[in-house]
Amino acid sequence: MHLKLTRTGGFAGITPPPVEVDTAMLSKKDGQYLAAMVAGANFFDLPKTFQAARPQPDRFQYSLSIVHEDGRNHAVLCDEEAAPEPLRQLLHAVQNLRRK
Amino acid sequence: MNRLHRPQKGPPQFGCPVCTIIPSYMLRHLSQNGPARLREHAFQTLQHSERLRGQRDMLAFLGAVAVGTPAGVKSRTIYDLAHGTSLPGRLVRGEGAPKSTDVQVNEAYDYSGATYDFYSKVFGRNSVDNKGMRLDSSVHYYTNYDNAFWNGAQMVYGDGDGVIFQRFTKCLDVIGHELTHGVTQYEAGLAYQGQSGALNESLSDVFGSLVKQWKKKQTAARADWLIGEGLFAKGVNGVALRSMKAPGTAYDDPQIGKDPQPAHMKDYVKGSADHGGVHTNSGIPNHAFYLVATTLGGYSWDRAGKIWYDTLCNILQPNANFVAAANGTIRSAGILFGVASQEQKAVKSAWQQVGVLK
Repeated sequence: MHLKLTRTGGFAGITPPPVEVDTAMLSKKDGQYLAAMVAGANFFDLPKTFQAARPQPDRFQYSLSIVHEDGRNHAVLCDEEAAPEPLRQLLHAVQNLRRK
Repeated sequence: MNRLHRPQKGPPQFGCPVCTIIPSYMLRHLSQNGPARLREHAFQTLQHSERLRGQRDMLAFLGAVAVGTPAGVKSRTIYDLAHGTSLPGRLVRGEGAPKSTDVQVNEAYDYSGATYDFYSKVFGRNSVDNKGMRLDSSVHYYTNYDNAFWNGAQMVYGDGDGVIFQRFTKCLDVIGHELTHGVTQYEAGLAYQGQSGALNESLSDVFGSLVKQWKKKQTAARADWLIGEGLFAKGVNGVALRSMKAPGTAYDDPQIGKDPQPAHMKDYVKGSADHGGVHTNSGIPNHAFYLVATTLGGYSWDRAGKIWYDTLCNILQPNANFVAAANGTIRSAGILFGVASQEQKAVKSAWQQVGVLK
């Protein structure tokens, strides 16, 4: 899978460079962990946007796109405070890959 | 001055009722009269469910313990999320309790206290809602979390990642900024997108900066007019997150880019990111405030701050744009200091200098 995560907003208003991941380049453990998080979030069936009815000041916004080797291709744009828990964990997992 | 009619602002409204098995009146009784070991637990349960309902009135009966403390009396609660995200977390320090060994707990406590004191002593405001609302802060949100935010009812702080950012409780103006989002929510209710969102952001920077200046007893001339000075980790090429004095100059580093803030309408940033650039275009009204404060001199909160506070509380509507803020602050200056006064002229000139007015 190819994943691309972009984060905007936040108190600092700083947009870091996007996190781009090719799971084929990860360790087996990391690759499996990520695949499980993607499945757990039901990513390819999620709506395209999760917008907070009343945005909370200084929260992040995320844009995550995933292209699967089986041809599935989806992108989700979400306000941090509106993300369902499994999606939020997926976003966090992808972000943590930046540190590796 | 007559207050314009506006619908009552407040915490976010939830779409469905919150139904709990133990009725509120029973929890309330337990929290006051129950066995000692259960009182705190009942209080916590009641507070949690009533918070979900947005029913601060129900908590008011607890008097000095929860919300509705008398004017000038602080009521702070600090929680530790222990790197989770289920708010508010574990209670670690209450009002009047001794210092913690955790510096973030103490910073959240001290700086929310300083912000309360500023609003109370300078503007006569009794906490975020002007009704003595308790100030709740949660620290250690998630892991490597490069952020702080106001969720509509409390403050939340991350530890930072240690590479770009240090802990977000470190700076007094950051805490003042977050609490001011609460004040704005209870006053003008500025919608968090586009120009009204940039005004919302600017007000948080303005009053965050004023808290810092007030605490340090700095005049407008001596203040650094920086937001989040000292927040960056070592090695980042930047002095602060934002500069009200010189928007666009706060940082320039390969890891995070260059400070994108404009100081003038000609450089207004369009596009949908960050709710229409609320943290970016706030540079324009920030700079207008800086110009008023430094033109008038003395302590910034005395005249510039007073005008801005009055405008926030009595004039701005939720959908206000920069022109409305300009006209509002000019009107306020006229009422507070006189039409054609030095103060009113300074306000008008400032908005002209940033290109909002001709």
